Order: sequence, then C-alpha cells, then structure tokens
Amino acid sequence: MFQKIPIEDLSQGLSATEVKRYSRHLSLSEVGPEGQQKLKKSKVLIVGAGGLGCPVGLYLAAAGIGQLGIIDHDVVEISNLQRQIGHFEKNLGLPKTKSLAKTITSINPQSRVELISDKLQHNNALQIVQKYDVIVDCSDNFPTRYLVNDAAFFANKPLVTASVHKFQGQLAVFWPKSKGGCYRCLYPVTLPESIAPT
Amino acid sequence: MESGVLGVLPGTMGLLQSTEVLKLVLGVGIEMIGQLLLYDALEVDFRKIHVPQEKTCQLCGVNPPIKAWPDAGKVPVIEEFGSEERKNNADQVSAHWLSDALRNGRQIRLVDVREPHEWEICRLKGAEHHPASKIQTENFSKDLEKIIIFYCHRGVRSERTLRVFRELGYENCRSLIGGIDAWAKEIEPGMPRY
Repeated sequence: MFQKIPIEDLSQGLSATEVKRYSRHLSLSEVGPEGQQKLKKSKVLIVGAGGLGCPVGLYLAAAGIGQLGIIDHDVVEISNLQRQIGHFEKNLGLPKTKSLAKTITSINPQSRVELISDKLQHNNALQIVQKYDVIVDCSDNFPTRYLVNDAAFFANKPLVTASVHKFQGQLAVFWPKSKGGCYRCLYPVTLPESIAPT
Repeated sequence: MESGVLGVLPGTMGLLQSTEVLKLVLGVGIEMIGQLLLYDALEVDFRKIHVPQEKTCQLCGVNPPIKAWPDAGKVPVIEEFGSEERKNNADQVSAHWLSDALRNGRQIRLVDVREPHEWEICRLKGAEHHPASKIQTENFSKDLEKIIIFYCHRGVRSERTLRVFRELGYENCRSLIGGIDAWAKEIEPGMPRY
C-alpha cells in the first residue's frame, strides 16, 4: 500500500505554478514531485518535426520534460497539416523546427527548446545525440533511422523509434547495451526508400 | 509518389512514443526495451514481439562491420528557441491577449502603475490605480486563478513592478507589453495618447 504524503511537503524544487500545472502528475504515486523533477531535468531529442514529432514534442513539453531538442530541415507545407498537429496554417513556409517550437512554448513556456535546422548526418549525429538522455526517432526515411540507431548505440542512449504507413504503425524501444537488439537487428538491410511515407 | 497515411495514425504512434519516453525517464512500468509493437488501425490489432540481439547484426552483433563511428568533424549548430519569446510568454501579455481575456471573462485584476496626472489623461476600464512609487504588495493576493496585469505608459515601469512582485513570490502577475500606449494603438483607437 502506498503511503499518502501531502504534495506540499515533497514539492521542493517545483514552483507554486508548477505544483498547480502538474497536479494530476503529482497525485500519481508513480510520478509525484520526485518524478516530476526527473521529467524537468531530462533532455529529450526529437528527430523529425513531422507527423510523429509533433505529438511527441507537444505532449512531452506539456508533461513537463524540461529540455527538448528538435532536429528537422524541412519547412511547413500545406500537405503536412492533415496530420502534423503542431504546425498551423499561419506558419506555412516556416522551418518546422521553429513552427513546432512556437506551438510547444505557447503550451508550456517553461520548456526549453533547442532547434537544430541542419540535416542529421554522419558528421554531426553523434555529437547531437550525446547531449540528450533519450532519443526519439520520428523521422520518415530509412537512412535517417539507421543513422539515429547507430548514433544512439555508440552514445549508449535509449532510442524510442516509430513509423507509420497507410493504416499501420510500428513502435520499438532499443537500448542494446541494456538488453535486446537494435534497429539493424530488426531490419538488417536497407529497404527501398519508397516504402517510407513522407 | 508519396505513399498515404491516415491523418490520425502518427498521433497514435507519437503518443505511444511519448509514453515510453516518460516511462524511461520515470523508471516505471514494464519497459519495452528490445520489443516491437505493431498496430493495425483497420484491424484494431496491437501485437508485441521480441527483437533479440542478432549475432549477425552489423552494429551490435559479434564482430560487427560497423565498428567505429566515422570521425565527427562538424560541430552542430544548436540554437535555443527564443529565450526572449519564452520570457514574454511567461511574464508579458500583449494588448490583444488582454483584450481577448477580458472579453472572455477571465479573472483579471488590472493595475495601473502610472502617476496621478497620467491616470487623469486616460485609463483602462476596470483598472485600479496604484502608482509604482507607492504600490503596497500586501494588498495583492497570490491566488494563481486571479491574474494581476500591471500596465504603465509604455511597459517599463510595469515590468519593473512585475520584477518586484516576482521576487516576493507572486507568480500570478504579468506586464502589458507596450503599456497603455500599445492598447490605444491596437485596441482602442479613440483613447487619448500622450
């Protein structure tokens, strides 16, 4: 049985606003003030600010993840708006990183957002990945997924990867140095890029 | 030709990703490390399968061909998103925001911190007058549901007042960007400007 402790007694490190904002988290024994502070101190990298990256960024910021890195090199187009929920019509033409950051910070101004508008490549991936605690692959193509997988492996960071195709979705969590395989164990060869929806 | 995707599907999958991120950070629940979840929206089917570490994996297998990471030569450019913009979101409100909030009946205590001669020229409807030089913090509540909006002529004195209140633990206050002058320009064109 869980002991019920008044929130105020445990909430050192959270401001009065944060105690109110996250009250539904604070009353969960699995989260509580300590968990909320863990969320506040954690850094998450989101690779791709599209269909997957939008809900990931919005919800993680709302839930209180303290620092979010967003990498994307595209701009917002009208055909994105059918599913990329963090981009608004008024932001057509803006870099997706900036457009999503605007939405994120209007939901939660406390969340720190870092923008990387470069393409993720071999010569920068490891350095970027090393700065974060959890890597979320929201990219839409196989070369990027392999690259993120490899960088997360070498940096020994947990990787949460997903993809969507027509009416089907996949989700996997990889952390080979902890247990289980990696993205390359699952898909040993590069599949044709045409399979991945953009 | 780009392949299709049902508009809501990335939402479903993105939220499953977000959930796993929170679980990893909090260290709660059954971890999904080394597992693959397959979702079929038409069939309403969720299936979870184990992804074992393959001995032949090019990356994490035995004697993998991908051994060392290629030399990381380029320092990535990481730009922090609008620290200014963020501060504004937290501490300042625009005349348009204020106008909408008042119209929508939000609980707002409007506080004019200008001097008496300025108060005589023009003022916002429903405002109280507490010149910045004489304002008493104990007359204000810290109730987060009741937002205090300070305004002055152009936003400098109200910002300074806000800082004083913030120092004393008032998180429920904001400052009107551009002051009553911005309000006269953007919301109430008939208001005298000085």
